[in-house]
Amino acid sequence: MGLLAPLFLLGLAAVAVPVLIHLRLRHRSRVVRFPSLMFISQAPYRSMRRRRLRDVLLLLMRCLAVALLALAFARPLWQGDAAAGATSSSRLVVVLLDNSFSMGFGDRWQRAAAEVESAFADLEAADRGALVVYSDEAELQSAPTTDAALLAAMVQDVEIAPRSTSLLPAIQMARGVLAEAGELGRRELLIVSDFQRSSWTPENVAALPAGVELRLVDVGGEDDEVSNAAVTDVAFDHSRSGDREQVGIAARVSYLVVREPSAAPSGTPLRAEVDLLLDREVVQTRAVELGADSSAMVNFAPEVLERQRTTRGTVRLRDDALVADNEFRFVLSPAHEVGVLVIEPDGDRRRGRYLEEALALGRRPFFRVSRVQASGFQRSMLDGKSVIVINDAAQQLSASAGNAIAGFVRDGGGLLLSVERGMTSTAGLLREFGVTSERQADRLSGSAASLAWFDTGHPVFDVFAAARSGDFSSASFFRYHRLVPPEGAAAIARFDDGAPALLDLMPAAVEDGEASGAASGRVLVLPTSFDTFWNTLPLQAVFLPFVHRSIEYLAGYSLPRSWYRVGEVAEVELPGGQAASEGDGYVSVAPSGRESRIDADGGGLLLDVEEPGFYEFREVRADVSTEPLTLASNVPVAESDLSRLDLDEFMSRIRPREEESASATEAAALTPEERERQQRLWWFLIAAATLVLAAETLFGNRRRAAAAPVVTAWSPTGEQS
Amino acid sequence: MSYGRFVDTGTLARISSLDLLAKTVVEGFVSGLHRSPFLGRSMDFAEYRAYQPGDDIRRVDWKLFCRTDRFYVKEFEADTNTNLTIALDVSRSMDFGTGAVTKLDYGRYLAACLGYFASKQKDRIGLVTFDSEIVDFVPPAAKHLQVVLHTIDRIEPGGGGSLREPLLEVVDAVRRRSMVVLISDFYEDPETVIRTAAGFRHKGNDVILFHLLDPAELRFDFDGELDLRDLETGVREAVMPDVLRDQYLELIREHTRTLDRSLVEAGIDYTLVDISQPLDAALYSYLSSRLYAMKAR
Repeated sequence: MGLLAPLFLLGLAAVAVPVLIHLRLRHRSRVVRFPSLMFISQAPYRSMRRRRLRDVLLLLMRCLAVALLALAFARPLWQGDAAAGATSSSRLVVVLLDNSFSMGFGDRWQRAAAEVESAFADLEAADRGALVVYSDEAELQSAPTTDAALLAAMVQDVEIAPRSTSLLPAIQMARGVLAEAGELGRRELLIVSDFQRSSWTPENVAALPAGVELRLVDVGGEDDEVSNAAVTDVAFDHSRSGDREQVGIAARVSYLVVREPSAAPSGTPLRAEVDLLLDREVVQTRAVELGADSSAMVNFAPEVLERQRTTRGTVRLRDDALVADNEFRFVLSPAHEVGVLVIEPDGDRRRGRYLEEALALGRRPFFRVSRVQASGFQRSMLDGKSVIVINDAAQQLSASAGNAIAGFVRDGGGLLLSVERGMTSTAGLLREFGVTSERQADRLSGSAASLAWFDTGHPVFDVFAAARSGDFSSASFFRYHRLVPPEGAAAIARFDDGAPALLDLMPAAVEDGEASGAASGRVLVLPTSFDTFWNTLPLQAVFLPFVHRSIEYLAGYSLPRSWYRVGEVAEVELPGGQAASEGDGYVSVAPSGRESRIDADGGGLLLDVEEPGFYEFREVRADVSTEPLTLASNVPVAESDLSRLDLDEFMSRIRPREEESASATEAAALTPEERERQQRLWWFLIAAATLVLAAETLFGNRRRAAAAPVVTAWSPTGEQS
Repeated sequence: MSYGRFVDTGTLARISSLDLLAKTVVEGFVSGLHRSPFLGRSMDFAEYRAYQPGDDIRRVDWKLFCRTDRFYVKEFEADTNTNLTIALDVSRSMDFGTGAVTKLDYGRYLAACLGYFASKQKDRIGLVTFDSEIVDFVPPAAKHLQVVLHTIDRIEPGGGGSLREPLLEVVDAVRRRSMVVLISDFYEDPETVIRTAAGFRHKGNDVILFHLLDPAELRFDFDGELDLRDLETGVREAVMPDVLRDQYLELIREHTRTLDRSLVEAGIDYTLVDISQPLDAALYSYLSSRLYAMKAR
């Protein structure tokens, strides 16, 4: 027995407090008049009561509570005896059982379960066993127990999970279980797995408590060669012909072969058929032939999408030993349309040609472009539009048109404003947003300006964040306005002279998700033209994605995901992009049929994806008859790779080296702090003190209630204490 | 004899008139004896003495004259009236009682009854009340019954008590052979009590001591924890009755035994009175002593 904080034992002096209180209170006795103390004073033991305490039981309880508290604060711990552990014959066996879906390959799962049952069956009566089931997360099925029947039943209840594998959290959990069990007896850690390479990264390091014996049961190492084909990805190509929308589906099929180094490659290619199912019906089938360790895209003919409806799609690979990754599920919904109104200057129809052609190439979303000349602008033209592009036409807009456009932005619309020759006359609309022009920069003589910097963290430029993903440097800018951004605006791109090349007037709308002040929409200001009159940007390859991303950003569009992976958190958008209000209730129906309620907390619905298949979401309200939302989920692709982990390397990363074993007792033995943290004796002491105090309160109250006022009946004047 | 038929002290406490109280007790007591209440009047012959001039010639015993040819006068008990001096302790310690009456009340009743009784016997009655000194003194006289009763009625508990000093004064004041009744709780050293009582006895008086004690003093049947406060000194003593009881009872038994033994040896009557008992017991004790005194004379 030891103490971490022995100084707290000084608190035992507080035991004197209840003693003093009792001594103080003992004088509360009855005063009785007596004729004479002549005989009392002659009695030799008349003062015995002076040395007696009242309510000795209460006093003892109070002293005990104080002592327990002082002892608890002193953090006691059992020191234990490591030597005794070596002589103890009892064992603690912690089994880590891999239930990732790769264990479903062939008969691996059956063999693994048999190995675990055998390990538990070998336990002696005094031995204890614990079961940890893990995939990419670990779960302790039971604390160490001697109940072999319980352990066997738990093994029977474990099922394969559609998840990937990660050994590190499982080992850490096992380490905790082994450490909490103390050092008495033999301790063993048994890992039953197929030991995929993806379950352990070379950076991982795990230490086990000293003295723990590690055993590995590899259920994937018996075959010289195993192969697995999987559908790992699907891509879509939306196109539109009139009102009809088509989507071409391409599925990536991978074929991975794992063989022992000594085994000769079989060279057998994969020949299989791949089905495309839409709404559970096979609509197309393709044959695929793949060599070992290769992948290919399987293209299906375009399918027509029904409008206003979500279609469930599945690409299914037939004939494979590991079936969990043979299906890839997705949902298809008609691409969104973004209404764009392009306002051009009167009489010049060429200005918007590059812009319109770029927008016409939009697929997801489609851009429905309307064009109008400045003088022909009418407020009704804003109906159904998400974005207005004013291409050097602001100087020709009437004041009422300017007000309508400002109101459109205030209502959440997007505005892309290109200023060129009419900067002075556009000041009226720009003043609405607080933008002024310092002067016009003319770079016709000498070298033309170039785009020196852009903010890759901004949604407009995030697609260009990767290396060699976008080259703006080849675009030349001959003239532009040196704009002075208003307070709160952000220059998300700059020319080589530092002047803003693109202003975002409402960056807060990006960060906060909502705009503040008068305008709640989004406004981008380009201080040059969208044609080739002042620059060569439209001639560059980056022009198309730049325009698309700018319009998508202004429209607040984000590409909906067609599928998720198990283990991800899905955010499901509600119909029409509406934000869920607090208290909206939805019921999610998992592929297994399990229902659970999800409360929307603003934005969308958040769901932990735990099963592969199709999730459905329905509103709880009975009066809603809308089509349920659908979400597709697939197994993690990394688990399809059955490549094997080098067990020697793994053991070297998890087990103390030989030279460290000699000092293992000292190095790996638990520090007193760790030991005390595990034992938590203070907790029991606090609980005991609480119980004692509760009993003291109960007992004290009863005594007080029983101590009714005593009338000294023998006093002739009725005097009483 | 049984005291059950006597009037209990609780009933006496409700009688406001000492005169009536004494009459009630004494008449009841005497009738219970089945004897005539007029014991002395020419009924109990005491002695002959020689005729002296001035004697009533009706009391000359003529038969004896015939036999002896001398004049003798018959003397009867009723005619040999004596002085009764009641000394009542009124110190603060007497103001204690756990029943219907305190020791002082009981002493007052006893004194009143004795006075009334003595008055019936044609005795002269006197009263002394004292604590550490004499509070009231009524000299013995045949017609002092009402004065005595009135004095008793006015008694209030005094201060600290002491037997020796005040009673020595009483010894000097009692010039004629008397019966002296001393009523007290005798919280004194037995030697002091005996010497004081013996002072009366040595002057030829008949002395009767009534030792009044409350049941609580006799049994000490308290429980719990107590702070006992001395009625006379105010001194407090914390005690555990359960622990102290046996020692206390032994001490008070020893005290009463010493008094009883020593007083009897000195020819002094001693009666321990439990004030929860009726007065008649004390009266009976007095009567016995008086009869003995008359016969012995």
